[in-house]
Amino acid sequence: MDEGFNNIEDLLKGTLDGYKKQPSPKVWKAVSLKLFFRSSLFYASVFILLVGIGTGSYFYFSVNNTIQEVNANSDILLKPTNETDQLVSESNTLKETFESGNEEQIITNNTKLKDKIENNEKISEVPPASEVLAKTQINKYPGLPGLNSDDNINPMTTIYPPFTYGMVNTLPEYLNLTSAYSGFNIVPKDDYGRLEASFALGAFITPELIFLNDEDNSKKSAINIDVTGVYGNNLFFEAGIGVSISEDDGKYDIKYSQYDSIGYFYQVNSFKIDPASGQPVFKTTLEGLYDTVNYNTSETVNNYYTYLRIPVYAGYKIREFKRLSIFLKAGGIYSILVKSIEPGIDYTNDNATDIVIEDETPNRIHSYFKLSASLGLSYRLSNSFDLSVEPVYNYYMQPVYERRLTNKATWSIGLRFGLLYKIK
Amino acid sequence: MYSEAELIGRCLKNEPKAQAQFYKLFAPKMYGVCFRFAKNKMEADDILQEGFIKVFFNLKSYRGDGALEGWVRRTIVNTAINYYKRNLKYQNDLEIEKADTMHSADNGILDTISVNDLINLIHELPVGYRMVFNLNVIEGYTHKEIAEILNISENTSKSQLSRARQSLQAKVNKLNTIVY
Repeated sequence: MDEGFNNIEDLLKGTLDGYKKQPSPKVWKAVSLKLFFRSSLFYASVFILLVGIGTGSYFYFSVNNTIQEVNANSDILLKPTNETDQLVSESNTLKETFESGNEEQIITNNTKLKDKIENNEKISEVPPASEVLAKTQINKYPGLPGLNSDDNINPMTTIYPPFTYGMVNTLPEYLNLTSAYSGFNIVPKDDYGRLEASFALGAFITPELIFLNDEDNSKKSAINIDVTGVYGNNLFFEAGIGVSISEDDGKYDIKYSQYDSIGYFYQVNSFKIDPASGQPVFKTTLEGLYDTVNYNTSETVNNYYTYLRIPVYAGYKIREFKRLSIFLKAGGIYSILVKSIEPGIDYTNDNATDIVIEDETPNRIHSYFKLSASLGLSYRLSNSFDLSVEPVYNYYMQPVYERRLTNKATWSIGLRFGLLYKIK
Repeated sequence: MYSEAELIGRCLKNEPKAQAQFYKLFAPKMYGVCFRFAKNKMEADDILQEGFIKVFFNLKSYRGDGALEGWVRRTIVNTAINYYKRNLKYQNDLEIEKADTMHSADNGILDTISVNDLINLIHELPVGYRMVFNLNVIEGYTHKEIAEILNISENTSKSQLSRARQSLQAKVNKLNTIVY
């Protein structure tokens, strides 16, 4: 008998020691993706992104503070003096220079003009600023309804990018850098110079379909409920907290043994020699053959997982048509597993012995991060309430399972419904 | 194609091309190793993926005092062991029915068994038996080493191997019945 074992062992060792098998190409894709996330290129990308967000935020808040300062000092107005007229005249000269494309002259004139503007800051007489500004070409700040009236814009104190300092509203539309820069100036003012930045509280519900991208192309569903705060207007920020309940299969492998029929055979009871042919004739009976047979089966049950989620978004309102507006939104959602409901199974079979149940359910990851982007539609129900609908796409940065290193990234789509209450 | 030393150097610098070549060089053989330890293809994919990520992350610790393939293989085997440990939720106590199954195999039958049949035989083993059988018979670990790695006693390791042998013998005999 030992010889038999050794034969098998030798055979297995000899055959399987150098056994080669080509893995699925998906494995390398997953490995290389993971390597990328550990590479310096990834960190460089994240760094650039963070610097970009930081710079954008700095400009955004700087411009808003300046507007507020201007409004607080709105009684300080310009005096239409000879110096001011000269400023306007030089500004128009600069415009012509710019159109001619002579950059050197532009910079020289720009510096001169800037100096002159700074020297004219302390002007005591009080004329209407609109008289001065009317002489210049006023940019209407497309996309910022509160800025259609330019009465509140003071070119002496509003911050502009360095290159355009003093040239504001004097250049053609396509050359006016302020026009492009006004994208940062996302908080519009009303005709009285008040900021129209709004803060709103929102409640959202999102049915979500998750594509696990595993071998079976499994699709799972989830429902998310969020409460968020939204600050801003054309450019806005949203952050909040919520819960996500997702369902998944619990998989169990069941092995058991059962005494069972494995076939039949003919039992020879007696025989005699046929005198004619000289051949033996057998008398047989059919006998059943029984043995202990090992069985293997699998069962699935529904498991439920509850995650605490923290969504953070930045968005931009693209267009507004009366009560409707379209916006783009992108951000991330950090999820932490808080509760698992795994009922398990109870296998019963009276004929079975040696029942072994193996839990094949992959463990859920305890926290993960997903990127989220949406193109949404918002409908103004009243001055206080907005209704929004957003088709959402989510890309999971980590697999949802602890050890199931899926070869492709998990992703999901959802439809986010929300009601927003504007506080100011 | 880079030489082995150059390949390691470039992989350490995170050069994607070198990493791809490194993977192509060792993946088929390592996948064979994973496939023996795993229960199915999906598990084998997981182990290979996790194993190669470890290989790349820990490549700096390879000092060159042994064959690179051996070092990669040890890393993959360790990954398979860890994978097994993490998945060990139920202790498998399936008894092999000795009276029905203990027969020695006919030497001639073993010659007719294909590699796929052998792999299937391994896959059909309960997970604990499979692990001990792989480590002892194929990878050459001693029972003492297996006991330490799997946190079991030496006697358990021996008994698991014995049962694995019996189970394999029974399966080969069953295969024998089917062949004829």
